[in-house]
Amino acid sequence: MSGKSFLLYQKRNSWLERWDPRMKILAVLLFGAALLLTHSPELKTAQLLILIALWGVAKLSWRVLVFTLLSLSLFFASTMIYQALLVTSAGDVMITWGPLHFSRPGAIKGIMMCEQIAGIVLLLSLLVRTTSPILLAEGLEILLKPLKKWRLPVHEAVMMFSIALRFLPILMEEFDKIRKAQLARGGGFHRKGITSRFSGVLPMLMPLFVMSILRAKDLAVAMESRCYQGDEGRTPIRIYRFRLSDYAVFTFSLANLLFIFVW
Amino acid sequence: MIDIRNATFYYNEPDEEDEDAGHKPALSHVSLNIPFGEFVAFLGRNGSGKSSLSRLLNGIELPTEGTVLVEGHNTSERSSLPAIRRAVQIVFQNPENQQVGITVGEDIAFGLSNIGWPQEEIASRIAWAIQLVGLEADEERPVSNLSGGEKQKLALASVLALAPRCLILDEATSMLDPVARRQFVETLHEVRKQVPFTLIYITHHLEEVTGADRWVLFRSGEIIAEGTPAKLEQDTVLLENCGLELPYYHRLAGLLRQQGISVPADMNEQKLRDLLCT
Amino acid sequence: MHIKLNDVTFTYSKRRRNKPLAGPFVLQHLGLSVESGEMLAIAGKSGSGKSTFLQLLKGFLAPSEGTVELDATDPHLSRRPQVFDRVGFIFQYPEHQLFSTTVFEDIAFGLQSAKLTAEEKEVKVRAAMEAVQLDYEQFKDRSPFELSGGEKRRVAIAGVVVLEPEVLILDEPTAGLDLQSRTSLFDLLHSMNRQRGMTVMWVSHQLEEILEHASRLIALKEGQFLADGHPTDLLSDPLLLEAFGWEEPPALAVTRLLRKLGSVPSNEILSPQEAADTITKLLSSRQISV
Repeated sequence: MSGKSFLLYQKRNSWLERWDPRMKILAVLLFGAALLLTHSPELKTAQLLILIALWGVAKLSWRVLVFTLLSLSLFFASTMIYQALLVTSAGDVMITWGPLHFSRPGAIKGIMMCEQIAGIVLLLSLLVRTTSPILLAEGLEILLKPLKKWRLPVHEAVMMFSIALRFLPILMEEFDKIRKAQLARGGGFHRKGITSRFSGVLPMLMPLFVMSILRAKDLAVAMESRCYQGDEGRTPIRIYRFRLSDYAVFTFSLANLLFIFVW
Repeated sequence: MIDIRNATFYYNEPDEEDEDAGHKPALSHVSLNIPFGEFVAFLGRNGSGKSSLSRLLNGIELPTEGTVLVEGHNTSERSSLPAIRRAVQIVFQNPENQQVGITVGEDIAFGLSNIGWPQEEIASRIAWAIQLVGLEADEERPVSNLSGGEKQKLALASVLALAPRCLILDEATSMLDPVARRQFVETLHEVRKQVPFTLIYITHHLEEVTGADRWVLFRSGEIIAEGTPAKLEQDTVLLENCGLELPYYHRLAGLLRQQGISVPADMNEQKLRDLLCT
Repeated sequence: MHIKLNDVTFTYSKRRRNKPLAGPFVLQHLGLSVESGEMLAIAGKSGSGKSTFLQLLKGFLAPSEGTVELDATDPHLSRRPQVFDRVGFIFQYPEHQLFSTTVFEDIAFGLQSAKLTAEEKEVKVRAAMEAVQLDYEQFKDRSPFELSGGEKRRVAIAGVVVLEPEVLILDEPTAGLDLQSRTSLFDLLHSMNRQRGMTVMWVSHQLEEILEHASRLIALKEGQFLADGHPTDLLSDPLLLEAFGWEEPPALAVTRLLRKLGSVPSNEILSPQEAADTITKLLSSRQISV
């Protein structure tokens, strides 16, 4: 129950939800490229702040934002340390601690790397959390249409992706249940951690695996029963028409990218 | 509209090299004819073949031997599958495993968009289907917010939107509490008054199918009996062998009839009182 | 084992310091005392808090307010969570939790922490399989995945019974089972209840099942106990039936009607056969008197 609100699109009637999914995907690509390509720490920070502001505009929970960033903290820390230790020249050394030398440019580089990682993660979470999986899938499919010429299974891949997204919360709930059930069988959950109690992860993974397969099979049968046969003769669920806001979003993302090169 | 001729079905093709006796078919030599508009109940124990047969009816599974004809189309012919799938729709046991959309509207639209309906018509059809099953939800409501009973009503709406000629309910009420179950069954019969279709109802609970035109009893992959409820109700031993128990009043009425006491067909507390107090 | 709940309230929202507990409340002010050896059914719609209530008893969740006591100790407060080991918990569709290659290994899974010799293990698994009426020699080496639905469920139950719990909690144990499997499952629960004095608590949607097997019924609605008592009394209470949208089980209605006509001993619920006999007698005696 508590895990449900996590990780997935929920209707909040925010401005971001009304953007066209195709435009959103394009904007994410452009913005992501800009974020990766810029070498200016100021610009990277500015872009990160824009994303955080968008998080507010999308009416997403701040707690989820903090949680998302915290979950990356170990990654951040290791990146920082690694970058800071790369001393390019002796004059750059900022702090010396035992045999370790931390450099100022290294630290800045580390911060920029962290901002990049955080930015990409935020971009993707914004996209996934403000777009219904079906719309996301259809948007992706339209954008990837040219690839169909080379007989790439675009539709199938996109469908799989969207279903995986939809099933994530259900699987998380299932996992919690399996964990509790196996704990109940293992005698108790109070003794030192799960892994030491269970020899291996088999007791957890096997039932989860079996359940996922069973559910996936059920869903496949249900979809097939409802006349699903790939993209042959299928109408998209929504009519996709760009609106002013979509053009604005696109223009902004493109301008942002161009600005990086000019700077 | 449905004609099953001597159908045998194995979940796994029997291995030619080691044909041991242990490999049993899920269905063996089943023949059944269901005219349009009939309300048929498939009854039997777990694993008796009733669900397997329902899967043959819309071509999800194909008979190993014999033929299944739906409105003249043979399910074994690939080209006729789209027409068959449109004609025969199934509501399954677990509502969560049959919903594709995140919102009510998306889910109902899924089937319609698969068969290529124009978008404007899909929109009005969604509204129609929601109203038909009396779902108190607008199409933007997320599926995850619905209760179990509402989810199953949505599943019903999603398949009815396709205007099926035949609807199969495969233990569709088994995960609902008794109140939600009663509401679901009431809704179903209300809907049937408005849009006619053949109804195939698979269940362990006889009280849900006392109003059926015909009961079909399965055992170990075979149809061992079929007939009107009034006829089959009398054979309690047969029913028990199929894992079925008649509702209390039906059992009581049957026993009283054996004693030569005439009792009304649909007995209830009031009618019993009338019988005893006159 | 004696189970006691003192004014238990539960909410998923975190408690803030110096502030009253914030809702939404899943459970509110529950008080309960269960003696050992009871057959207790729990009824209520989905979303009434049943599952949260059960998880409190197993210690998966701790009450936000109030206490849960097992044999007069509060395992949370006294920091003795191992007391919860004496409660067995079986989820809905427990067969989905099976994972081993043989029935024996699956049932013995819970014993691995107990440092038993192979012989001791075998004795325990054998006893558990006997308790769930699975023949040891016939089933021990088979894969749990190739068994029938009813058999799989019994293997899963044996996996909990092998830990010799004093209380067994089951969430809708008969869901999806046919008549024969349902009957044999309850035979099993009754026999463990009688022979080991095990308390059995289970969630049920089937009023007939409750009437037939429970010695006590708790009805939960919107996180509160609306009623607690003998099923015969509760299920014929029109107010309670209405509150839950239930219909009185026919067996109760018929028994009450016949009792009014003066021909049924009290404390007995009539089967259709008994009811038919009583009615036949009643009608024929009338004909004679006329």
